[in-house]
Amino acid sequence: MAQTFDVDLLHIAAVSEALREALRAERATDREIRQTLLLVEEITVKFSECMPGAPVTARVQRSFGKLSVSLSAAGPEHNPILETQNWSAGSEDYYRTMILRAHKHLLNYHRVEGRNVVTIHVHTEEKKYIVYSFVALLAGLVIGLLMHVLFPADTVEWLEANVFSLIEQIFMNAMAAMVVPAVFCAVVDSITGLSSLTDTGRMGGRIMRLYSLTTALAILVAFALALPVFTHLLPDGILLGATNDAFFDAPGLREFILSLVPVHLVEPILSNNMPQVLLLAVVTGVAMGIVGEKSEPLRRLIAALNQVFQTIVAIIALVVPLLTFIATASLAARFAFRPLPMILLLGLVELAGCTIMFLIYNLMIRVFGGVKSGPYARKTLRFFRRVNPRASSGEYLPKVVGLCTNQLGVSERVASFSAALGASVNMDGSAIHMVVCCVLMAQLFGVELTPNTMLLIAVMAFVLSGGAAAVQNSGMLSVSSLAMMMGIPTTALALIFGVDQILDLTRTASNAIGDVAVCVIVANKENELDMEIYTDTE
Amino acid sequence: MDIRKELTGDRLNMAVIGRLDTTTAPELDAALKEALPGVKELVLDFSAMDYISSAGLRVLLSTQKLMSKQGSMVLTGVNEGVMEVFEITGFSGILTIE
Repeated sequence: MAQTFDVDLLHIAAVSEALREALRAERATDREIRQTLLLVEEITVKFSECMPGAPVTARVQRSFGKLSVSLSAAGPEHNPILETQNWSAGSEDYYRTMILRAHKHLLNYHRVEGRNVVTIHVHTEEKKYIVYSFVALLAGLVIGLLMHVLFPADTVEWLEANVFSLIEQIFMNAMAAMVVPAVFCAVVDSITGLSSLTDTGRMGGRIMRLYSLTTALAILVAFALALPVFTHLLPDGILLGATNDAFFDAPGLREFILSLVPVHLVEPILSNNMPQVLLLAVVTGVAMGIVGEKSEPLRRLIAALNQVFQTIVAIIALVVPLLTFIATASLAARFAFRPLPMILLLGLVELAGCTIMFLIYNLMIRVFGGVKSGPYARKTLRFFRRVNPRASSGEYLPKVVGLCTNQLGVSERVASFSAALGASVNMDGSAIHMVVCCVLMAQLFGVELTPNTMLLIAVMAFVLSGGAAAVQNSGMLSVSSLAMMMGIPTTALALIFGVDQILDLTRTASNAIGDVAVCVIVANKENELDMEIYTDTE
Repeated sequence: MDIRKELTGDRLNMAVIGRLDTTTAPELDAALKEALPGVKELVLDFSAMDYISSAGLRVLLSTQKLMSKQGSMVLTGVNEGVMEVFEITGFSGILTIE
């Protein structure tokens, strides 16, 4: 049963108290209530600024088990979430924008019957899912080992064929259906959103070049680590099956390049041809940016579709812990302890990749920034040891800006612009994850990694890390896209998705550490680095 | 919101009780502007303050800028909820919190 409240800023304390009681009755935690009440006030202020005098209504409701608060006000179209993409450190509502941006993953905007509606999702379940995935991984291992010891091999095979693979297939069919439209909309939405951010001349160009360089280096590092490790260190005898016919590999370079360009507009989408879909998405996004205001209705439609597809993917993702359990149990039942090193190696290679990237950032600060990297290394590590791990780059953004301006001496102008751009496009940790997963899957399915295939993986990881990384469950979407391109049966991904959720926090921290490095380099190039603060040992 | 002030020499202790939101932040701003001339040490006691929004943060930032010119500013008794907002916005790195 929904409850409705009139939100009046003059009586915000009383409204907050009433909302607190309503949320408490719906079993929201104290932290969730605090977070929601803060967002209610900040969004109401935004509404009041753009629609002066329009009454704002809050509606507390539970739908399909999800608790939310919808704020609505009648008036001309106004999306306060979209505004968080464009902000500057000196603006009057800088901190309001910071707060909204940090909670962007909990907010949705839509317009209905002349009213602007922002929905605040009350529950934050990311950490819970990480715990679930970890428990599922361990439980799957134990149950699988028991099955391996207690059940005869033909019983295990029967269970694998009739129970495990059936459940995995249901999930993966649903996932496969969503990957192409979800990735297409995410990439187009991301590129059109970026066009306003990057339109800042020399500094914007310099930042984009640096972020592109770090992502390219991250991909190289991932290949350099994953190829020898997974070729030589994976246990023998784990070949999970054959690839699908859709494996994308053309014989020569000419055919390879030609095969990337679609000859039909819709066919790549219908045939799940991911490289062509990505190319279409990039070209569409760029073209919409060039067309400008006239493409606004299409941009809104794609943004809405993006939201719908991400929501469907989020619903599908709810069963990831169950799939992790099934995938681990199935592997352990068939191969006993042998899959264990594979899981550990996946984690270790990604961690090693992120560590090497940290060393590369230090080197870049010396070479491109022309300053000592010691203060960056010391202060960044100390800072990230103190802050709570976050699962999205957007949540790190205010902290990154704070670290850059207060401890590293980067000007507010450079820090806010460069870090905001980085939170949207610089996903080095995610690029490492994609490449490492591809090499692992190739080994497990006996796919030969030819130079063409590796080049294609690299290009796709580059585009996906920048284009689709800002959306929810981006790891799942991106790895599914790459698996589809390689012809890997998507049932193989269940295990990777489980590990993915656990490793996500490390990757996100690595992305943010890269953003800090680029802030320092750009600040020094723009003569906006306060060396006194930068070298200060306090 | 309630504000309690205690001036000892050039040290001002100011306790903020209740919420620091869009409505109450201007009150604190006015109280600080009135009390700060001549103050070299400002202690803001937040142990009875349970909520802060961006409007309150703006007041703290302008006060911090002012105090960095004429002395020091320290926040005490910051509770978990307020600290979360400081962390989200990067304020925890700007302010001295005890």
